[in-house]
Amino acid sequence: MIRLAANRFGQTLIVLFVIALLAFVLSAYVGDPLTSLLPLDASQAQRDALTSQLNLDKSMPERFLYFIWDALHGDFGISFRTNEPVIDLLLVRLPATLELAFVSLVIALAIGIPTGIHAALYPRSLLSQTFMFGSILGVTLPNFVVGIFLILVFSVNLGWFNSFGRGETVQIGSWWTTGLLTKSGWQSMILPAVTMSLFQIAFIMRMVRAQMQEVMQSDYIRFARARGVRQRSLHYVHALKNTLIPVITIIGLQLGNIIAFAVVTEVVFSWPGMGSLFLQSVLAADMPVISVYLVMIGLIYSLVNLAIELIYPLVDPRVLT
Amino acid sequence: MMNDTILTIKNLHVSISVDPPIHALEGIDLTVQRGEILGLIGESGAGKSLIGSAIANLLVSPLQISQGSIELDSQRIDTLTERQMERVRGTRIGMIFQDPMTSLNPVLTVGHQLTETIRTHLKLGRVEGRARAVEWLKRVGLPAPEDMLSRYPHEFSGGMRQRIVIALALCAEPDLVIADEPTTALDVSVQAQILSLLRELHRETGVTVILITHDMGVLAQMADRVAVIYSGHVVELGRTSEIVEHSQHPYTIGLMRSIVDIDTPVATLFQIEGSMPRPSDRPSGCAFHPRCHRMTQRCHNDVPALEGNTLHRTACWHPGQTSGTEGALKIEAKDAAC
Amino acid sequence: MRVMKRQRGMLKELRRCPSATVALMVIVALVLVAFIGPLLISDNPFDLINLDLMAAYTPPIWLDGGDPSWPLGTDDQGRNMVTAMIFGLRTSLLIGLVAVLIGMVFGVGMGLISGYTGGTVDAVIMRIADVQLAYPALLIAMIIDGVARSIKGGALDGKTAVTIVILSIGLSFWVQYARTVRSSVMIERNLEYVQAARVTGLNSRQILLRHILPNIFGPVFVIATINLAIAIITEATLSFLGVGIPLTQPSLGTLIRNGNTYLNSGEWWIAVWPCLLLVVLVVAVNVFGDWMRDYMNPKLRRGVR
Repeated sequence: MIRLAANRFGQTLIVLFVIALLAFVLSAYVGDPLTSLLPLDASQAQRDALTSQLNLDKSMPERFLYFIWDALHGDFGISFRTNEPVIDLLLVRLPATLELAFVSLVIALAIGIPTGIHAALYPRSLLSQTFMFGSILGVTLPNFVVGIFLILVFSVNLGWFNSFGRGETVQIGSWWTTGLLTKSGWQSMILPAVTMSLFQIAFIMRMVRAQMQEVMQSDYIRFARARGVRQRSLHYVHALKNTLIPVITIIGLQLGNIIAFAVVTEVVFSWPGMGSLFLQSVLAADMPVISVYLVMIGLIYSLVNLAIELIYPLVDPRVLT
Repeated sequence: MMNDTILTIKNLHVSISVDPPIHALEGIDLTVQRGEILGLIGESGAGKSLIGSAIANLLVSPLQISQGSIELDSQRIDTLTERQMERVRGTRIGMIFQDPMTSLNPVLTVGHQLTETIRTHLKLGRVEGRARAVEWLKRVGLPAPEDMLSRYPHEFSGGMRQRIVIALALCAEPDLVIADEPTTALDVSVQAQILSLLRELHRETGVTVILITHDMGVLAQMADRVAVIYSGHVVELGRTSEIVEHSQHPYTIGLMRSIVDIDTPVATLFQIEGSMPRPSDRPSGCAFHPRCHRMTQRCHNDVPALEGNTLHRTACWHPGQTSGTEGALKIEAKDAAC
Repeated sequence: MRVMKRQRGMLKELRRCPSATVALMVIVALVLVAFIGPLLISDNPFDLINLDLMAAYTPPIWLDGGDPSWPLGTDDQGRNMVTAMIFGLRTSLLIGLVAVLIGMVFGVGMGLISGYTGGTVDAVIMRIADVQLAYPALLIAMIIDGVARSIKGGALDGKTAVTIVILSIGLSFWVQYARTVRSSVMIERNLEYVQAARVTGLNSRQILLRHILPNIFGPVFVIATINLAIAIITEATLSFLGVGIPLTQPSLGTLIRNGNTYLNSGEWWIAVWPCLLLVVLVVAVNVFGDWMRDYMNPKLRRGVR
């Protein structure tokens, strides 16, 4: 078990190293910090000072080491666009994106899993056919189109929900702000969260349905049925556990897509999260932020997948022996 | 042993619901006496497993019972709803399936699977249920039964898993157990152990057993009576000794003759020419007639019914023991493929 | 020859599935409109000469203020929504098709190299493929766009933007093709070694190509249809975000981006029509692609050998 963990950990480190290297090359050699951070009439002394501060005069390996060292200390450089430390920009926006992602995931699981189960157990019911048709739309429709339509119907026409910003937020601790404690926070959160969850709902529903159908055909379910195990236990204990375990891994792999959806959703709803920050940085060619984003995505993806691989043995008893 | 009937199957037809329907089982008539071991023998695809599935109402669509009736203790069970069957399966009819490697739920502990079955049907509390589970594991010969409760199926060998399966099939104290090829998937050395375990449990509990297999050797050891199944029909039925030593149906004769034992001269291997037809290609009249050397026009036209006495019945227009090897295809040893 | 026979059988199967037939008809209709339409429309709405600002913000014909000359209304620059969408559709389709082609060519090439060469080259290529899994096409495209802007020192001109979009979407697809082709090559290689013992002097590369390419045509085609829908959506999303096709030669995504600003002020049609058209196109491609994937599958298992 420990050997397995060490192995995967090592592989993850190698991947992260490559990504970090790429990000370093981008941030160090693409774009000119001197031109971006200093006003046009800056003196030579100012230029020299900045050059020394940013280690621009050192050799590549040295600069890479500084890059890693700084990163580990939370120093991700200075944004070309706003002249602030990148880390500050990120931290302000992190809660917004995390809350949005969390709420949308909860919605997706709460709707996707039960509907998938129902569609698997009662495939011919009208409800199931509706679900399956809906799932095709959910998987097919572009994210921003869904957002636009939701805004038109629920915000412009019905006026139930907000389509702009986060609403009122409450500060918790030193830097976290939450929109979950205010009414206007929820009013602003619902539409973007639903937009983001739509694809996930469809995806989870289809996965759960396919997996559960396969499980229901298995010998052990047949045997349980032959022993007179009651239907409710058959479906929700015997079958469900076998269904959900593989579904977990697949959801982990979808993480990249979810992060991408966050960018689009945040733009459609003017949600002040990291996704919209990323877009602004791209449009302004703000290399430090872009390269941090590059590393961050790779990091999240690798860590989540590593975590899933390590958790899997705990959930599926077959894996350890 | 009481001599009354526990199970009656009358004119059972199991069909695939297409147009026109294909009959996997046709006109099956069987009665099972309480406390006996009835063997069902036939080759793969003959329909013997279907009989077992039909009794427990476990047929998977498109297969379904299209005609006939099944009565357990004089009560019809083929017309029960799924909900009603939940109270029959496990506690009145038990089943043992063929493959122990896939019969057990891999993510539930052995203890969970046992105690759930016990408590669902016998209405015992948690402590008693657990104790009963331990008792059963001991009974089927597993060492350290208390520890075994918290283990998962993959931690056991094939033979041990099949013992657990047997415990699961019997723990709710059914009156009838259907064992569908219980030893086929096991190593030869383990097969004997499992069979003797079954025999012992049968002796202890008096449970009625329907033993389905393609291996005549198993039935010769275990069964009181044997029914020979060919292409969806019962072609011969009677006491085991009668079937083995005084077979009347040409198919049964061929079957017995093809069993190789240590005394068989190496030079002769026996095989009935031709092969059993699929349900969709079943010939008219007697299903065996194209392969039979006693065949007459009558065999082509009419389906023979089971005739004879309580000890021995045959479905054939020309029943009778034969001497010699008529209809035999001798395969010389040097031509035989290994 | 084999390809044509398969096509004839396919049409027969297709008739049995009504939704796929409808989907195919929709696709054909849209393609015709997109490529023949612009030839018939004399005034390119995106040519600045043709702008009629007085007609701006005209609503669709069934609303107050509607005008028969502009049945679906006009946008903020007075462009006829119908013609704007036809041109937009053409751009969307073209970019999608080219992106898929690039992905296919690059991916199949990489798969051939990886499978045939084996060893370190193969390992490296597959590792790169694994890492790329973490990054959806959308994000890769955005990063490349940012880098390009940085190098160019500001906003990108039309040609560069289009090239970046096509390349980044296309290159995000290569992994699937590469993996499929690679496994086919490896199977073939093993067989080949067996034969090589008996038959000598045959050019192994030729045998490889002659045996493999017909075999992979099926699965590659299926991957391509799935990718087409994704390509169209990704391009539309990029354009919507502002890092895709610019307004001078817009795609449906660019049109939607343009219309998005007017959603709250009431001129909903500027965004909604392109949205609907995009949805119809994408759903049709997906439905047909799904059907084709199911159709190809049992055939694949039967194999050619």
